[in-house]
Amino acid sequence: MTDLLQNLPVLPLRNSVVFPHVLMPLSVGRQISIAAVEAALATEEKEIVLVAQKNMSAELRTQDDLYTVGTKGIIKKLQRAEKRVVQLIVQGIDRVVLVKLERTQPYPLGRVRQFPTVEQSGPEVEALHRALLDLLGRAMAAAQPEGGGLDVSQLLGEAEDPWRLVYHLGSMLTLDIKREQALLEAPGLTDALRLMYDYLSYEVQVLELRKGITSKAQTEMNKQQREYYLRQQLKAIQQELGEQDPEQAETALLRERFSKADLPETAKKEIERELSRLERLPAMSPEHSMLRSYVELVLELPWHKASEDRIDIPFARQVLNEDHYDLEEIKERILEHLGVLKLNPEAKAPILCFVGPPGVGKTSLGQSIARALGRTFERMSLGGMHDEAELRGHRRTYIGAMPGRIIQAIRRAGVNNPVLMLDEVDKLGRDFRGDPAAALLEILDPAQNKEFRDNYLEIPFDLSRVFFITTANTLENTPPPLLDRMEILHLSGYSQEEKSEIARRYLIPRQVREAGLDDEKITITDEALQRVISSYTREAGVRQLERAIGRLTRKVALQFAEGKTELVTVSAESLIDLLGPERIQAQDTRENLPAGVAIGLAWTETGGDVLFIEATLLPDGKGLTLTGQLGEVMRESAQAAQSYIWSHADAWNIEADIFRNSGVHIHVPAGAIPKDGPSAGVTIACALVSMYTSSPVRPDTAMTGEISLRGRVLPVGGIKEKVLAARRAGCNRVILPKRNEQDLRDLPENIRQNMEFVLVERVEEALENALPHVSEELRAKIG
Amino acid sequence: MAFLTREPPEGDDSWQPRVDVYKARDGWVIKVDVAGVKIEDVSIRVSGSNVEITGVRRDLTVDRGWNCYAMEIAYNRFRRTVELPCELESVELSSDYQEGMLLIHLLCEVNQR
Repeated sequence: MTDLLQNLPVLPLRNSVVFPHVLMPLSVGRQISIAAVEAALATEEKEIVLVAQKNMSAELRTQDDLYTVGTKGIIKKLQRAEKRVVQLIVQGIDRVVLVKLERTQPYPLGRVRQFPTVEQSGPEVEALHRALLDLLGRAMAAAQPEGGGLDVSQLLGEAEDPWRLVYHLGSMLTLDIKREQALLEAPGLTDALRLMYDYLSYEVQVLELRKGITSKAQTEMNKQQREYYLRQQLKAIQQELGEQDPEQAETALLRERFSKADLPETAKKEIERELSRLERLPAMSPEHSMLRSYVELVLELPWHKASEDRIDIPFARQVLNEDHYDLEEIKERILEHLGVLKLNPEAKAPILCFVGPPGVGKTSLGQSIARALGRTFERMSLGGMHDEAELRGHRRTYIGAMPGRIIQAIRRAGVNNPVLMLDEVDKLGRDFRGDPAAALLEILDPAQNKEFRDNYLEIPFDLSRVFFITTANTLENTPPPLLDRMEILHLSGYSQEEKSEIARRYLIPRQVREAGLDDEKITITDEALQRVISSYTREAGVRQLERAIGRLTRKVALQFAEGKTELVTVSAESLIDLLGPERIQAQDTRENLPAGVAIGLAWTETGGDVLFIEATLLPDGKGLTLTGQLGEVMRESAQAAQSYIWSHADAWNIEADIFRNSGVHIHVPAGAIPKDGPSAGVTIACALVSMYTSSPVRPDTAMTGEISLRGRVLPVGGIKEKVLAARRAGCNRVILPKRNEQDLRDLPENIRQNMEFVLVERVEEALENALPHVSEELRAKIG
Repeated sequence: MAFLTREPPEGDDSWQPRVDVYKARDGWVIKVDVAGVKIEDVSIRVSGSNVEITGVRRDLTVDRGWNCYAMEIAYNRFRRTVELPCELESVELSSDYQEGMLLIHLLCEVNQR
C-alpha cells in the first residue's frame, strides 16, 4: 500500500497548505483548478491532491512550480458562489509525494504515492507533546487575557493524538507558506512536534509582547485621557446645567468686548489673531493666561477715548488760586498754555518741568492743572527707576512680562489725554539694563510720541495728547537732552509770611479737619503760628510745617477726647507744652560776629541756607588751607578772593608782611555737608579782610556774589531762596550783585519792603557795606 | 485570536452517517441513514458496548458523464460508532437494508441500567 502509485487530479494552492485530518474551506477560481475539482468529483472517491504552489502569483506550468509534498483530500462539499468561483470544503486525509506531474491541461494530473512517514515514538515524543501542550496553555492565556470565550476542550480533544494536534495548530496559526510546507514535510512525529514547538513559542512571544504593549499603551493613554474625559464630562455637565465653561465664557466675553471696542486698525488685526489663538488654547496652558491679559490690556486701553477739555480760563485761574497761594509766575505760564490750547485744540500739549525744593507744592500743582483742565490726573514716580523696561515694558516673550509704567498709567487713567505727572525725574538711575532717561526722551518728544511703541503692547499708541508734567528737586542730575524737551518752571521756597499764609489757608483747615476738630474747638494765634514756622521747622516747603500743625491738632484732639469742651487757643507760650522745646535755635542771636567771620548765603535743594564763613590767621604758617568739604569751584573762588585782597592790600591798610609771614585757614561749617559753587566769593573776601583788619563784619548783613580777580562782582543764582534764608536767619540786610537786581522782583512784597538790599558791582562796595569800621577808617584816611 | 477562530474539525476524517437508536422488547435496533451505499460496502463490528458501522459511499452517477454543479452529499468512507448502555459480548446481530436505511438488530437480554 505504501508504494502504491495513484493518478489523481492536482489542485494547486496559491496561499495555503492543507494538512491531513484538517477540514479546510477553499475558494477555487482558476480554470485548471476548477477542471481538477470537477475531475475529482467525477470519481467515486472524490479524491484530489492539494499541493502548494512555490510562487503564489505565477501560473502553473511545470512540476517545478509545485512543492513535492502535498495532501490527499476528499471533497466534502461544493458550492458555486458566483460565476467562475467554486467554494469547496476539503477534508485532508493523508500526506502524499508528488512523483510526477503528468500534465497540466485540461487539469493538472499528478502521479502520487503515500508519504513515507518515519516512525518515531518514545519519551522524546512524549516530552515534546507535553511541552507543546504547556505552550498552548500559555498561548491561550496570552490570547485571551480575560480567560473566557474560547472552547479549549475542542483543541484538547485533538491533543490526544500528537499528529492531529500538530496539524490543527498548523492550520490555526498564522504561518507563512514556507513554514506550513516545512511542517507538512516533517519526516517524523518528533520533527513535526519540534517545528510546531518553535512556531508556537514564537507566536506566544509575539502575543505576550503585544499584550504588554497594549497594556502599557493603555496605562499611558489612560492618564492623558482620564483628564480629557473628565473635562469633557465637566463640560457636558455644565452645558446640562446651562452654564458655560468658565474659560470659554471668559474668552467669549473678551470677544464680545472686542466686537464693541473702538480699536485702531493695527490693534484690531492683532487682537483678532490673538483671540483666535486664545480660543484654541487649552485653559491650562500658561500661554492662555498670558494671552488673556494681553488681550484685556489692549481692549482696556483708551485708544480713542479722551476726556473733553474744558478750557475756561477764568475757571482755571480760580482753581489755581484756590489750590495754591502765590506762585504767580507758574500760574501765569499754565494759563498761557491753556489759552493756546483754547485757540488751537490740536496744539501739542506742553511738557512742563517743575523744579523746586520738596514740599513747595509741585505735585499738588499738577493736580490743580488737571482739575483746571478737567482732565484725569495720573502720577508715577521715576525715583530710583533704573531699568528702561520699566518705562517701556518687557517683550511678551518673557515670562511675567508687563506693559511699561507709561502704558499702565494710561490704562488706569482710562483716557488718552490725562495729565501725567512724572515725579522725581532727577532721580532716575541708570545701569547696565539701560537708561530710562533715554526712553523718556522718546516719550516726552512731541514729535515722536505720537507712535509710542511699548515693548509689551507692540502696537503704537498715541501719547501726543497726554499733558506731561515732570518734577525735579534739582536740574543738575537731569540729562540735558531731557531738559531740552521740557519747559522748566522753578518753584522756589516760601518765605515766612508765605508759609504763614499757606498754613492759614490750607494746612490748618486740613489738619483741623483730619483731627476731627473744627474752628469752635481750636484756634491758633498768629504769634504761635510764626513761632511754629521759625522755631519748629526749617525748610523751603511746608511739609514739616504741616506735620507740626498736625501734631498740634492731634494733641488738642486728645484733650477733647479726654473730656474737654471749651475752645482751645494755641498760643506761642503753650507751644512748648504741645510740641516740646523749640527745635531750631534762631541764628540771629549772634549779636556781634568776631573778626574773620562773614555770613554767606547758599542755595540748596531744600531751599536756601546761611553759611558762616570763618577765616583765621596762622602765624608762621604758609599758604591757604580750606576745610569744610569744599568743592573745586569754591576752593578756586577762595583763592581768587585771597589773591585779590593780597594784591589790593594797600587799599585796606593791611600790612603786606602779614601775607608773607602767616598762612590762612578758611573753614565753612557745617563741615559734613559738601558745598560748592562760586557764589561765596564776596563772602570769603569779606571774611578775609575782616580777619586781616581785625574788624568784625556787620552781624545783620548776609552776602552773596561771585568775584573776579579784577574785583568785579558777578551775578549768581537762587536769589530768592538765599534772601529767604537770610530773612529766616535774621539778617535783614543782604549784599547782592547788581546784576541780580531783577531777581528781587520774585520776592514777596513784604520781604522787599522789610529788608535792605545792597546792590554792588565791585568788591570794594561790598566790603564798604559789610565792614563799617574799616570803611570809616578809610574814609577818615582819605578824608 | 485568529488562529483559534477557525472551527476545529471533528473526530475522524471520514464522514458520519446519522443514526436513530430504538429499544425493542428483545434487544436494540439501530437505524443508520446510509442511502446510496451498497449493502456489501458496509461492515458492522461490535466490541464492548460499542457498535461501529463503517463503509464507503460511492457516487452512483459518476459514469453518466455529468458535470457536478453542487455537492452536499458526503462520499467515500464513513465511520459511525454508537455506544449502548449494556455489554454486547454475546449478542446476536442481524441487519436489514430498506429504502436506503440500514436496520441493525441486536438481540440480547435487556438488562438495562
